[in-house]
Order: sequence, then structure tokens, then C-alpha cells
Amino acid sequence: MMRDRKQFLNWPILLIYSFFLMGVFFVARAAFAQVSSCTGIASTQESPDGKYKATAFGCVDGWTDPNDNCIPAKQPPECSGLSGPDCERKLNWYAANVDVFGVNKKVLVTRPDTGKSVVVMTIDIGPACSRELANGPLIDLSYSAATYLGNGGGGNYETVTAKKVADDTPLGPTDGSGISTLPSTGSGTTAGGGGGSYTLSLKVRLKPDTKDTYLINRATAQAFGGGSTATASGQGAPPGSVDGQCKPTGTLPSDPGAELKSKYGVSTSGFSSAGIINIYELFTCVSNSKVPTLLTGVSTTVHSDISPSLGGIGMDCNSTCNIWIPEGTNAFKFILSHELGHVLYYSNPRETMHVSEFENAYASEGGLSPYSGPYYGGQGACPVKGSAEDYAELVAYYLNPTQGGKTGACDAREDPKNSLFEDTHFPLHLNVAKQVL
Amino acid sequence: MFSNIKNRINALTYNNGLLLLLGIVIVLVVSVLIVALLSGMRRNSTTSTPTNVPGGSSTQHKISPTQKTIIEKTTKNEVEDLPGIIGKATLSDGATRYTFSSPLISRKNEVIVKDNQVIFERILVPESSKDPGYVRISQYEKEYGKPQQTIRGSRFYGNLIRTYIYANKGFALIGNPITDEVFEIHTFNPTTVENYIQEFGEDIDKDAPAGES
Repeated sequence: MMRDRKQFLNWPILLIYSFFLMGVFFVARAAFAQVSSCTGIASTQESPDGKYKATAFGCVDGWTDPNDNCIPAKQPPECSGLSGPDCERKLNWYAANVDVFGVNKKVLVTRPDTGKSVVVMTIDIGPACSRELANGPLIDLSYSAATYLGNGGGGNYETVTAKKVADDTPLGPTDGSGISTLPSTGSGTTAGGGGGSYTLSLKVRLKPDTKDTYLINRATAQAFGGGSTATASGQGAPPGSVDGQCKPTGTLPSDPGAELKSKYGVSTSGFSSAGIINIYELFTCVSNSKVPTLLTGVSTTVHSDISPSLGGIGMDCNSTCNIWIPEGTNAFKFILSHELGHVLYYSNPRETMHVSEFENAYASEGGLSPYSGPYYGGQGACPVKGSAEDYAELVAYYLNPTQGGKTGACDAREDPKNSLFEDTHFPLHLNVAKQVL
Repeated sequence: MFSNIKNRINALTYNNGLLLLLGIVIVLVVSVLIVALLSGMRRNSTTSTPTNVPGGSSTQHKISPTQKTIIEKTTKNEVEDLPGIIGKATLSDGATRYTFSSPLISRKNEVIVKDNQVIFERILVPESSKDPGYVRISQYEKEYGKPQQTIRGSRFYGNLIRTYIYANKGFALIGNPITDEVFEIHTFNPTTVENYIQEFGEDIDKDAPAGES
């Protein structure tokens, strides 16, 4: 009899306790998670107990929040002129939560169970109220910060504390380790020239600072025989040309045309031997830039003629690209570089060419020349041709650092200055060129 | 059978009356909590999914993974609730153009609403293949076939950029045929090519020369 009663009593008691445990779970969840009263886009209230769950956001390499528009809503002054992702890369240690801690404020975030702390800067609005209502108070951290505090999960809702600290507090881990798992392609600082040792011991993928090698710079150009006053010194340059600056040293190959074809995929049509040498010189001068890489897989022919469809100097690309520029044209190398800029622009992915960043540079700074205006201070004779022409101008100015502007009949520039290098008005343009070329 | 059950209940009540009473109270309390919690979670989930397309359902086809609306489904109120609105303007035909943030200063995402329904959306496609929403022209050609018409010349992107018009399917792409990249996606109600060009083809530069100078 007793045994029967015990068997009978087991199931209702188990059922009741199951409900009880469920109740405890949900009550606890409700008690801990539903403390937020977030009602707008993002929370504006500091957590009552200073505790938050750490999440990750941002659009830098290695982590992309699918709900992020990749534009920090409150970019700090040090990000002036940078795109959203570039701002995030530059800061590295950042957070959202501007509505909680204030705009561009430093916040010390600590994981109590490990003692790890990191200082971040608030640069964006967020996290969304919906996420906070579901999870309790959140602090949305950069991938680096979230990963540093967590276990490599890029924001796994680890419990952290957060409090505002002085604006001059250095960003990053408070132990000064500077550890980052961000797979950044950003540059480190080198001691001396390229190939020197890094001054920081970081766990990021670093590559040498390209600023020493990114192009044939002004000094190199002058070493090649160029100079701001040089005229018509390039071999094969037409009389009266102002673009004789590029004159590489070394031995001229027996067949410069064949070298152009094999090294750069560039053919020539209708040029004299001197004209081919002139083209060869330009490509040799820029061989240390990324131009050869950007031309990989691109078949280009330079014609000593005007374009049948354009009725003048220009270019077009379909399965192959054509550049039309008659031999003897004034500022031949500069204009060839300009047309080459079009070829690079259309033949490479926008990301490689930093097109979005360039468009924002163009929108912010205007065109580099009257030809690609709106020129910031000029009254160019040319009609405004827009950003596509400005990209080509950017390439031309960058590859011809000692070249001033004086490129054609419609272009009224008499300014001998190179807008990119000798005018401080175009830092965003210059930044794009450095990255692309 | 009934008497047997009655006996068992009597026995249970006799031996475990207090425990049973406590259990019933807990079950009631827990039930109320569960109901309240579930209703709260459901309410949160309906307002917290920015990737949801207002007016859309799982059976409706999306042209772009990042589109914000469904043509002729999403309402004006739903558009106004979307995050990232940076501008609003009334057009000459009475329609309302909403502009949304984009990576570009000079070109924004857009939604046009007329008669309380979305009639057009412009989606700027990110340039990085790692970013959500990145798509290629060939993907669309594989899924939808060749476009009804391709027009070379973009006022914003350049003379060699083309507009791929799938007017009868309600969308168009602006892209680079050389790199296969899509720069923009336009969605609209299925129409004719001519109507699309007239209504939404302002970026098309039919007179653009066949090249750049």
C-alpha cells in the first residue's frame, strides 16, 4: 500500500517542482534583464549598478555588425576627413553609448571576474533599445575592446562595469599591453626607413609603413632628373613640353615597347620610337607605386591619335582599354597619367580604389583642378566634369609630383603648383592617393 | 475507474495537503509570470528587428538583402519609423522622398512614398565584399536572366558605368560591367523600361560619350 502511494505521488510533485524551477528561472531572468526602461532609439540611462553586458559593433576588418551603417554618429575631431570604417580603425578602442556617457567621452570598462580593464571612447549612438530591453544594460564595444575583455567572442555579453573617466585618459587596455586581435592592415611605426623594426609589440597584422615606398615621391622624381622648373628634359619629350620631370636612370632596354607589354600589359599604336620611350619612362617612374599591380590583368593600348568616339584625347574600356593621346601633346606624361587614372578606376574594385572615401573627399574638398571642379578657388574655363575626372586628376597629380597644372586648351590653369602636394587644401584627396597608389 | 481516482485524490490530499496547496499556488504564480514574460518578449521582438522589412513577410521576395522596404507594401508610417532617416522632402507630384544615411556624403539611400505606399527605393551597395548587402551583376543575371535593357552612362558614377534595367521585375542595377560590381539597386513596382527611365532614371546619362576624356 505504501509503495503504491509513493509511486503515485512522484509525478505531481515532479511536475510542480518543474514548474517551480521554470518559475525561478523566468523570475530571475525577468529580474536581471528587464531592468531597462529604454524607450527611444538607444538607451540614455546609466545602469543603476554600473554593470553592463559587453557586445561588439563596428565595421572594421574582422568584425562587421550587420545592423551598423558603418558611420559613427559622433565621430571625434581626430577622425576629421576619415570615412566611418577608417575612423573606427584609427581609434580601435571605441564604444557606442554616446547617449549614456556623452559624446566622445572616455569610459573605463572593466571585467570584474578577470580584472581586465580597457578605456574606450564613445563615438556612436547605440546599442538599440530593443537589444537592451531583451538583455539588460549593454555597452557596445569595438571588436578589439570586446575581444580583449572577453574570450575572443567579439562581444559575448560578458558582464562588465563601465564608468566615465577623464578625457585625457589614454585609450586601450589599462595594463598598457596594447593587445589587439583586430586583424588590422593598418601600419605601424617604423624606426627609420622601410624594413625597420616596429616600436610596438602588437598582435595585429602589421605591414611596413608604405609612406616610404608608396610612390615615386618628389625627391625620387627629382633624383630621376625632375624638378619644379625642369622642362622638356625627358627623353623623347616633345619640344616645349612641361612634363619632362620624369626621367628614370638606368639602362634603356633594347625594346621599350616589349617591356611595356610584358611588365604592364600596355601596348602602343602609332608612336615613334621616341614616343614609346616617353611612355616607357612614365611607367618606369611609377614602377614603385601600385600601378603595376593595379594593371594586372588589364590589357591597355595607347594610341597616338584622338578617340574616334570622343573626338579628342580620352579613354574607353570594354574587355580591353584604350587610351587616345597623340604623340607630341603638351604635358604628355601628365595627361597619359590622367587617362591611366580612368583605366585604373574602371578596372579595379571600388574597395581597392577607395572610391567611397574618394567620393567623400571630392564632396568635402572639391575638385583638384578646374577641369574636375567645382574647383575650390578657381574659375576654370572647363565645364565641371565631376568626380570621375577628379579621380583621374588625382592619379595624374600623384604620379607626377613635380608637375603643375597646365594640361590642355580648355584648362585655363596656369598655376605651376601641383594641387595635391603643394596645396594644403586637399588632405583627403592625398590620403586616398596614398592608400591606392 | 472514477472511484479509484477519487480514492487517490483523497489519499494525496490527506498525506500531502500542504505541499499540494503550495504547489498549486506556485503553478498559478509561475503561469502568470510566464504569460507576462512571453507577451513582453513578443512585444520586444516586433520592435527590435531592424533587419525586418516593414510590410514584408517571409514569402515576399527581396531584391537586396539590405533593402528597407517592400514596394506597395510598406506604409508611410512604417517608413517614418525606420532608423537612419536624415531628410524628408515633398516632391512636385505630392510624393515624399525620405533620405537615409549612406557611406557617401553626396549620395544617400532613398525611399519615395506616394499615397501611403512605398513606390521606390534606392539602395547604395557597399564597396567591400565583406559588408552585408554586397552583390554582383552576375548574381542577378544568373537569377533573373539578362536585363531588358542596359544603358551606358551614369551622371554620378561615370560614363562607363551602366544601368541594368529589369523593369518588368521591378528593379534596376547601376554597376560596372568591367568589375561586375553593383553600385546601386533600385526597386519599384514592375513597369516598362520607358516608365522606369522617366520616373526613376535621373542618373542615366544617355548622351554620355563612349569614354572619358
